[in-house]
Amino acid sequence: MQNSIYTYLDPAELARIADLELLARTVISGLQGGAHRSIHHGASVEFAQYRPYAWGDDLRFVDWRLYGRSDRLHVKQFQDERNLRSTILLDCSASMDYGSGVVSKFRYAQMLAACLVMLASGQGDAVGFAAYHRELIAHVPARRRDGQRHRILMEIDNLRPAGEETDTAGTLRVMGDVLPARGMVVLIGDLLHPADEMILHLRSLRAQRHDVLVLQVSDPAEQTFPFDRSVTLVDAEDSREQFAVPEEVREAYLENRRRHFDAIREACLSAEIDIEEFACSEPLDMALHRFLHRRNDGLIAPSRRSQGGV
Amino acid sequence: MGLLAPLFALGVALIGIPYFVHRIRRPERETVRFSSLMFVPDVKREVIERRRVQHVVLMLLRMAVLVALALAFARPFQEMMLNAEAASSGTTDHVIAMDVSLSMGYDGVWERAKLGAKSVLETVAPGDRVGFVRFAQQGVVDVPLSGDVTDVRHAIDDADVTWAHTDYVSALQVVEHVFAADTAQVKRVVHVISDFQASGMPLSDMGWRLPGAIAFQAVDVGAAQVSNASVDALAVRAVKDDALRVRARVRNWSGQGGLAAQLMVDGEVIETRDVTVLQGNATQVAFSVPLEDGISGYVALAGGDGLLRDDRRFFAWLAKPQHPIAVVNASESSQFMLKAAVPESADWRLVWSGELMGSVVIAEDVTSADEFADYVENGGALFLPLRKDADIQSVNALLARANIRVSEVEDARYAALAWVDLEHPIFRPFRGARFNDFSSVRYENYHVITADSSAAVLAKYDDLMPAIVEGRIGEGRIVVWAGGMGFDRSNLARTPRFVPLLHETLRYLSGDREIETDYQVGDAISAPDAVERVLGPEGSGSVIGDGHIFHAPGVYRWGTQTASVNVSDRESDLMRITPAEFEIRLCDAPVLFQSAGKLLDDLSIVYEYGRWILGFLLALLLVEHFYAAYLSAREVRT
Repeated sequence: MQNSIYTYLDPAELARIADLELLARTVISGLQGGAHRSIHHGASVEFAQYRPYAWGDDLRFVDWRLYGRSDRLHVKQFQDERNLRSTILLDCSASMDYGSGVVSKFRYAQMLAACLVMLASGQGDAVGFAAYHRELIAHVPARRRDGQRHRILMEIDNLRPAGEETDTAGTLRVMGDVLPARGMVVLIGDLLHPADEMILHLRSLRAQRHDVLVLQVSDPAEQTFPFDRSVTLVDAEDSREQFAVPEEVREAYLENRRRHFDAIREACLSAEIDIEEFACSEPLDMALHRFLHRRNDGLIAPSRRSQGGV
Repeated sequence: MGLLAPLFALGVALIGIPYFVHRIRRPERETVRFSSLMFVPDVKREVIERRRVQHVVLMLLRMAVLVALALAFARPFQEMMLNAEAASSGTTDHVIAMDVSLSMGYDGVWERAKLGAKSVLETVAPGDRVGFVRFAQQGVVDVPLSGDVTDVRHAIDDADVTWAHTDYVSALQVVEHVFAADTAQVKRVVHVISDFQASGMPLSDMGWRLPGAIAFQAVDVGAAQVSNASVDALAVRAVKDDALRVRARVRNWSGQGGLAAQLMVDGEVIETRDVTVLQGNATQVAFSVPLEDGISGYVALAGGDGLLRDDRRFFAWLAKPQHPIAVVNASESSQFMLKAAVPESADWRLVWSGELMGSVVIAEDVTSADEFADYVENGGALFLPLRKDADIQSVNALLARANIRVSEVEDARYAALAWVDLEHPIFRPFRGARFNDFSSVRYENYHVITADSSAAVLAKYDDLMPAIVEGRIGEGRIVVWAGGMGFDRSNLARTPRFVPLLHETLRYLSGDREIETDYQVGDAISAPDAVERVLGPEGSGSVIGDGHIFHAPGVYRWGTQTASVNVSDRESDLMRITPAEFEIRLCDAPVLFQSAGKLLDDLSIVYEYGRWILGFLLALLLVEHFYAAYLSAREVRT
């Protein structure tokens, strides 16, 4: 993705910007073309397709000209450009506090969440926010009003990773109960916990017609296990210690990790859930640009795209 | 294979220490906080066990160091059997090395030495061979290895204490040669009969040791308690014209401090002085005796101590001959300078008769070349500082015989002395950096000299013409100063170099040499060629021997020479070492059968590996050091 005419923002440089709003503005300044499109059909100026009339359809959308030619009733369907209710879920567990470089996963996730808030609010969407670790620790319901963006950014900025364990599934279940249907739910976390129950609740959200995005944040050290000497590893969440000989365990570690995330990825894609991995070392704007580009081009969640949803 | 000190082998158990140190005191393992351990598999137990020991190679190296250290102390050896013939014969070669140095003359020691030597003979089994070496400063083989002990017994009876000092290394080297002369592989034992005087040991490790195949047996005959004082130094000096000052240093090595020193001249006691010297100290005693040419005598300690042989120290004083120096054809100014520069002294006397006589003739011109030539050819020495108006024809007639030619003086030849031969005796006193600059000596004109290679050019002007030349005619020699010495031609006489240069020239031409008058027992006459017969202290020429080596102290005379010979003061120090220390310092390997009490029964030689192991240990330590440094540097980098 290296582009000679596009200078990406180094996460380490971004992390120096204390003002999260300014940071997010800086990142998304080059991403304005990446505004998301809704998967819902509704009334708008952009025609999508014809559909045979069904009982209950709004007669305003019946194409009477077509009825005059074909003697059958069809209704026009348009790309729904109504404002979405987007809710961003941020994992604040202690495992997110890990960072082999200058930027920790949590800081990267904070920046990512801020950027998404800026993008959504910039489009006039209602934006909500929730943070969790073992339990829900912050929740700002989605609103489209003045000061909502600032409030969410303040909330994000004040968060600190903590907690002895992560309960993503529980949070998703709560959010499923709380959120109105047909919104957008963005889950940002490292997904370092058992995935089965989480997948279950992600599917549940999809069943409520939510557009679900899972943004996995990883540290480069987690991706490569780069240790070269025997070390005692301490779990960031439960402080459990384990002796590790890198040359002995590296291969098995990488295989375990690959299997875990492959399972999550397959489950998500089969449920038409967009999933993307962000590495902390990766320029945030470049990663976002790539993600939005792929999402708009239908390169993610192919099962849903192939069904013709726009 | 065995161990000489098996208890030290228990030190091998120390190899457990590095294991525990490397296991327990392993470097602090890094603790890393990681996001999640859910993907990290457990490390197998054997891997953890293996990892508990850090730096296995370093640990093994350290274990090897400890093992080598323990083995080096345990001193492993290998007993190598000699050939079957020797094993079946079961014979042994003995060499009795008997100390005959001066210190063996201590009261009762020599008698014990003879008894000890004979007792060794008693232990010789039938079929064994025995040799006899007596040694002091050098070893002398009196009886080579032989099956007949009678010759050895006679040699022991004939041996006597000498005046020489002890040198154990020389003695043992002679013993080694005695054994090496016979290639039979039998057991070899050297019996050293000595007082084991510490001063006989080498001052530093010479690197030579008695081979391990030769067993060492000590017969210590030294006295446990000794009392000795000596006159260990003596100096004589003429004071005024009528007295000779004799100063002796009296040292009390051990024993009573009250001593009496006597000056003996011509067998008569001239003076006796009481001196008190504390044990371990020395003092000086001065005597005066009327000055006579050829006076000699000694200073002796009256009263007895255990070792009488070092109680006398001889001296001989010989007045240096006065050289008459004849001055002919000298100008008035030159005469004035010579009178001032060469006053009459004990060394020389100027004679103004104008005749060619004496040791040296000083002439500024040559009146009769033939007369001068005869004088020089017969051994005379001619100093020729040419004056400006010298008769060049006559001069050349003389110098032509020395292959030297002199030209007329050319006016306005200004020059400075630019080079002198500092190796020549005339200029040797000027070799120091402060004195070797002759460039301030300038000449207005001079005689140009040409000489072939048979003449020696001793100095040159800055135009490279010879300034001082030496030539030979017959048995005599001529030294020519081309610029003369008068004020009218050069400033030489006004410089501080004139008088020393003139003195050295005259001293060189007169053949004046320092005469050696003080020798030690064991020294040889410094110029033996001219010596035909030497009168020793007993009045006999046989004392000096063919090698012109002094074997006994006393006053010796040969020709016109008188010299005193004294014993080495090293022998007066009767401090002893133990035979065990002697063996450690001078013998290569300890002898197994001696420590095992199996003397004369073994037919093997012992090869000890201690030194090899020590070398290996050193190498291991070096490797361990560099490897540990490498590991340390690597850990710092990471």
